[in-house]
Amino acid sequence: MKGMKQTNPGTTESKLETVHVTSMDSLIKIIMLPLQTALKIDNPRTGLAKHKLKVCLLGDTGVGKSSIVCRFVQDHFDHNISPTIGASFMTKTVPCGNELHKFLIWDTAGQERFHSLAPMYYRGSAAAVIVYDITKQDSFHTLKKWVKELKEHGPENIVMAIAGNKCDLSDIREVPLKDAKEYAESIGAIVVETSAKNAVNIEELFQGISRQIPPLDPHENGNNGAIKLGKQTSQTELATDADLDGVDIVLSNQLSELALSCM
Amino acid sequence: MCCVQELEACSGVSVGKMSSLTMKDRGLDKRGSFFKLIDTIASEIGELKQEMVQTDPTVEDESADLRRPVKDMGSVSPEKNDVKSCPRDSGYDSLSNKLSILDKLLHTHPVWLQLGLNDAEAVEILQAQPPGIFLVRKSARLQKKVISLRLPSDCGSCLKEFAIKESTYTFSLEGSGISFADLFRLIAFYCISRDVLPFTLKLPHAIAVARTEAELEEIAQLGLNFWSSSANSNPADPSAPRRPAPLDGACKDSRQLCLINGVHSIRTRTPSELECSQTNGALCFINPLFLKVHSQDVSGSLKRQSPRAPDANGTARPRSPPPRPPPPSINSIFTSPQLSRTIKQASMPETVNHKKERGLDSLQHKPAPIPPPRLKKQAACSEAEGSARAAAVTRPGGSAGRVPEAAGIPGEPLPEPAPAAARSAGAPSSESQPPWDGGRQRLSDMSISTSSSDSLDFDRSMPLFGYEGDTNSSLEDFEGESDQESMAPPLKPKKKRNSSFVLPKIVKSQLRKVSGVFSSFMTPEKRMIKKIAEMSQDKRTYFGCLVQDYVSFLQENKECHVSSTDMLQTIRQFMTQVKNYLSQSSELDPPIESLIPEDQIDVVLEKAMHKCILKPLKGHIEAMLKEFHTADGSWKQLKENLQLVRQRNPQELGVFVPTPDFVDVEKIKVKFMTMQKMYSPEKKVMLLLRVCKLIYTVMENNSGRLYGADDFLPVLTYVIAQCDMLELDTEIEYMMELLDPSLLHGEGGYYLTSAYGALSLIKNFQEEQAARLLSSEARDTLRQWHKRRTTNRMIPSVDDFQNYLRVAFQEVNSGCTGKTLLVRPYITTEDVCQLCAEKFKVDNPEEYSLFLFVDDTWQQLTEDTYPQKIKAELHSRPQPQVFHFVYKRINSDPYGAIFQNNSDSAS
Repeated sequence: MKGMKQTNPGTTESKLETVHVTSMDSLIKIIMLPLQTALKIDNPRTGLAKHKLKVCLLGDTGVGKSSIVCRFVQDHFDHNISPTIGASFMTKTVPCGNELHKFLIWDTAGQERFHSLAPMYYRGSAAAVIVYDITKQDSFHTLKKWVKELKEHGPENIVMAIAGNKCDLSDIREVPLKDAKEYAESIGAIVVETSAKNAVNIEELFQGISRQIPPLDPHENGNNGAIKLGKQTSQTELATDADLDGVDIVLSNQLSELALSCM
Repeated sequence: MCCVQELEACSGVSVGKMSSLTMKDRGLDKRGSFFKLIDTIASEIGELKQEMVQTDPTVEDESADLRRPVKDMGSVSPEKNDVKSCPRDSGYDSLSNKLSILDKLLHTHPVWLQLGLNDAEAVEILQAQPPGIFLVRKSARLQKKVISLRLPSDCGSCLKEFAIKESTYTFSLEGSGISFADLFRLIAFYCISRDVLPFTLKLPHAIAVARTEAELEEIAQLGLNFWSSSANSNPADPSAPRRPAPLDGACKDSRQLCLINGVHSIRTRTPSELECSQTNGALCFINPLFLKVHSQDVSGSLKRQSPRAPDANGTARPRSPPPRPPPPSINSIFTSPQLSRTIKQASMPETVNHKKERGLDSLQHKPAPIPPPRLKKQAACSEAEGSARAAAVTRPGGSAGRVPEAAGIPGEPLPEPAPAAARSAGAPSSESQPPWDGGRQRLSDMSISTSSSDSLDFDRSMPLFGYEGDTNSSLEDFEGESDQESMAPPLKPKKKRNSSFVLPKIVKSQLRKVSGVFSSFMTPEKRMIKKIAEMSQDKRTYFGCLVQDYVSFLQENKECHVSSTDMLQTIRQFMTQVKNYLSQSSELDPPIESLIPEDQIDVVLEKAMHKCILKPLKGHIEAMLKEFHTADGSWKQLKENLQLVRQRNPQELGVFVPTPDFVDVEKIKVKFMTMQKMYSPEKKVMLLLRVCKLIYTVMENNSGRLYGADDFLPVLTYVIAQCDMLELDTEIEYMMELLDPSLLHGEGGYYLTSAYGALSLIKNFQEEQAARLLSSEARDTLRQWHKRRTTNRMIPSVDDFQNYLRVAFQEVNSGCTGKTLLVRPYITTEDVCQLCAEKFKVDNPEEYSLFLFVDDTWQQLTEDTYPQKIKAELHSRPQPQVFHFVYKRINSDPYGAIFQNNSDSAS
């Protein structure tokens, strides 16, 4: 007892800390994990800024959209990262320069009858991966339709990546690589031929996207950014909503003053 | 030994009489103050006096023995003697001083928590302060919160910045492995323990000596002005009357010594040493748990054992510093209690020297360890009284011996220490025991009632600077401190610690540890949310007014919104605005930044908004949504279509994978019902995710195959149809519109989108056009949602096609050309005409106007109409029509026919 007490109390303490911290940490994990899974709270302990990128997957049904994503996400799968509930929405974080790019990959249903829902999926996307099957000429036509739609209605500056999947079946190829390259060049898109089956060019496809994403403004990161943006939004929207009713105007005015004074 | 007589006298006389007694001689005076302490207690309880009078002279020795350690210690810090010429003595003070450091920090944060202060302002303020004074502010350079600490003037620069690291759940000092649940705890800890700091933080004197919440409030009122106000005078000035002039020197010396010691240790430690003392980034949640554990090691065992074993020296010794350089935190933790004890004891009656000798004999069997610096300091103090240096060495034992009397952690079985102490004293007589028991009991009571609130007691933590005698028993402080740490919530200081005396101490403390661990992780956020929710009810706050006015306005004015989307979007906007207000305003007290790490503030505020805005409005919103959907017939349509879809088999809906059976659908329905009960959109989304997860599980059916959207969306549509719940429509709408926009890109947003899409498909499902496109109405809704999302992102994008209008330009000679123009919803036809004149380079715009070509007829639009509204109206017609906006000559009707024939591009 005495001996122990005469040792540096600090060491005793830190020893205790370490012992308990392990259990404590796992405890926190248990408590917090569901929350993180659902709300995608960023863990800021990593020094790198995390850039969330929404990526939408477009293309005919059966061309292997989700296979590409599964291959991308599940190769070198990090079990520390909470997996998503299904393959329609998957995430993967990759380092890119001074940032971490967290891809939030939105799969879409390729059937024609769901076509009208696509805008909900691609809006707000930083990038779109448009997939065709090199053994099906039809799927390349569909791809062109998607490109056209994105050009017209898609987000400005969306990075487009064309993936000719199933390149392991090149002996029954219907779409020449040359065609795809020429087309991609004409629209300024990335193009690769991939094989989700054999894990060919999958990483490269996403690396290509990463490279075209402009770096994040350090001060517009995460929640701070959201708050700032929100503030601007409220101001601009106040103007349009102000005519709706009296009290609202009063409230809004107070708030816009606040917002202004905070700017 | 006249002890008992004095005891009687003291207990019998008033404080005034007491002071006259003290005039006689110093020793008496000291004893006087000691007994005055007892007297105070006695008079408060109203029994002690009687019991003391009964004391038999034979008890003399025993009682003297009992008190001996105390007296011994008292003798070493004689300066207190004179300090006590002021009416209150240390014992009295300590008993009435019930504010912990944490309390003080909480009350006075407007003084030291100055997040808006810039570098120059901080320097300006701190320059005038004594070393150890600090401010917490946000450094623009580091983009972090920092502690700006005033250094002693011989340190080169006058202040140093220590960055505060914020993780998702904790605050810590950069370079330290110790993390805290909030800023107050962090600061409180560094008031006691320096850890990575050169010395402990010091509270401004006025705050340090404040005894009541009112005093603290007064100080807090001053805010930043406190620093320049007269309230914040240097400790030397206001405390001067409390410090005897002749002894001031000695005291100063010791203070100097301490200071030097503190500074000295940082000087001798190389950076690498400093690094070694840290746990290198390991996340350590030390505060509640480990202080407790540690204090138990030392003081806990000390308390239990010392009374029984007269040689408490061994147990006391751990309190002396270890031979090798200790990590600063521990050093100061242990330094401070001891010093404060010295202080306290100083006010005790000075016993004759032979007592001291006896103390030495009985308490110190081992050769005294080399007095650590702080003991030397104490010795220096005692020197003034002429006591032997050895006395200083005995002190640890002495203090240990005294602990059971005054201290005792809450929950400690009360009767134990006293008999033990009596036994240890050697000659307990049966008659003497009752009165002492009584006295002791009362003391214990006192300490129990005070120990929790005395936790983190200021003075104990300020050994370097303040030698005022109003310290409480350091050990009990220490106990209490760790205890309070573990009990957590500083926002609602516990009024009392009603400890059960049944639970064994160790069990209790273990329980406390566990609860402490939880509360320190959970409470800052929950506390904050609770606080905001309470504030939202309080109409005296601006925030409360905003929220209450808005809520009651919405409830009373059902007609104020034209559509369900409009209503929900307005509410969402209001929440976002109020959130912004809260994060910027100073209405939150304490500021949210002090409790919640920065990257979590928005999350916490969002939850608070749900609680204080959505919770009261939930019923109203649901009723309104129902009303809207019943009124516009969409529920009727949905109901019919649900019926149709349910009659389809899965394959007809494009489902070619296993589908949930009846039992699974029932499970899903239960989840959806639960969802309806929630007011928080986030929690609703969580349930939606669970439903989707279940669907995936059924689809995969242990095949290990992963299904993408091609398969999932049809199944989801099928499941939603099977559930046959009209309310799901409003649930999805509620979530989509009210969910924090920043979450819309995540998993929740994805499945919400999918669910919305599935419902849209169902709504538009018709026998003959099962696989046809969405109605334009649904598209419009999609667009609106899109608009919200894009405007929230504030990136103006082309895809926001609601803001665009395709206008054809028809010229007699050149035929027809079309252009897409940026036309916002509130832009009038007049403005559009102007725009067209520019874009199409028309020289005589007055001859042209905007026409709508629809149903094979031309309509000239009047100047005050809104083309976008007209477009939206046309889009929302059940049967979409072909229409064109055409900019053409007003008198060019004859060519209308030509245009009509050629038109195919416009719209």
